[in-house]
Amino acid sequence: MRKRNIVIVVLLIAALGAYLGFRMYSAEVPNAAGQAPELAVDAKALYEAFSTDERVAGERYNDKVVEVTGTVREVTKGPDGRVNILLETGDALGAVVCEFPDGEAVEAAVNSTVAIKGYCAGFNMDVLLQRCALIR
Amino acid sequence: MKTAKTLIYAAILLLPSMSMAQDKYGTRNGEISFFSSTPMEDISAINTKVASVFVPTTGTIEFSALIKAFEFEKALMQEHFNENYMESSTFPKATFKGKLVPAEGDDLSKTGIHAVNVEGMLTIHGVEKPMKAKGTVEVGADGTVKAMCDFDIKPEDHGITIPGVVRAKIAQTITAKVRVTLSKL
Repeated sequence: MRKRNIVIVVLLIAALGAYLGFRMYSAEVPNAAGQAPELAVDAKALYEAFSTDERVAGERYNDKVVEVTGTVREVTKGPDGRVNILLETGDALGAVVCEFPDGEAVEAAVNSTVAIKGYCAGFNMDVLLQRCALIR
Repeated sequence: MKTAKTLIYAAILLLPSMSMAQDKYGTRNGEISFFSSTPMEDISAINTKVASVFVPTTGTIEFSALIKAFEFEKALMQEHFNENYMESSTFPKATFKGKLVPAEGDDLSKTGIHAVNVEGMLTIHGVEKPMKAKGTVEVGADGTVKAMCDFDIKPEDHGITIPGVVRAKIAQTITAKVRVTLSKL
């Protein structure tokens, strides 16, 4: 009887382990919606930080959920159907590009002020925030 | 008076060639995807934020892609790709600088579809390697240029070591696909 109980407990633990392992293995890349921003910054300051020293700015912002406030320069829809909101940086060549998750309808008026949070991916002409969510 | 006239004529004659020489095409929404297939696992990722600049008159082309902007189906794959293999915090970008070489007598500034040889230097994981591949350039009448190219990459060529335990899950050669639609800058 006792032996049987031990076997059952071991099997239950193994099943739980397998379930948790599988859940960890198949977890999707998280979106910023529902996550608390770790840092908050103005779009212009974020762009300046990256164009001044990409490495230092990268260490500070990359992979973190960053809340960025700025003026909408342009709203585009990529060939993949995802909405991108480009924020003004004071430099015509570069923007802070906020990419929203697939299938998400986002509306923002050009020249309006918005706050967006997203995962910072770095600097490539523009500063890129991915898997974003509109705060206001 | 005569010199002034000659100068004006020269300017008129030179104008078209000057504007041609300045024609540059670019995008910030280029696409690079890659695919690794083994009996153990299929892994694919896509980056839709590739920056590219192309000059048709010279054939010069450049690409720059943020490693962190490659998106995977699973969070764990993306994490391993960035942290263990590409070390994206140290090497944030992959770049290509090179040329699109059309067939003898073909001109890439003309509307139509052109077969090209892609030749240049590919930098991944901070390691620069010469790269050669076949590609296609489609110059549209609407002022856009579409460029596409498929090529193979060996992680080991770029100093990326894959530990024995996971080696069976990652293909020896990974196929990369580049698809960009560039518009006049």
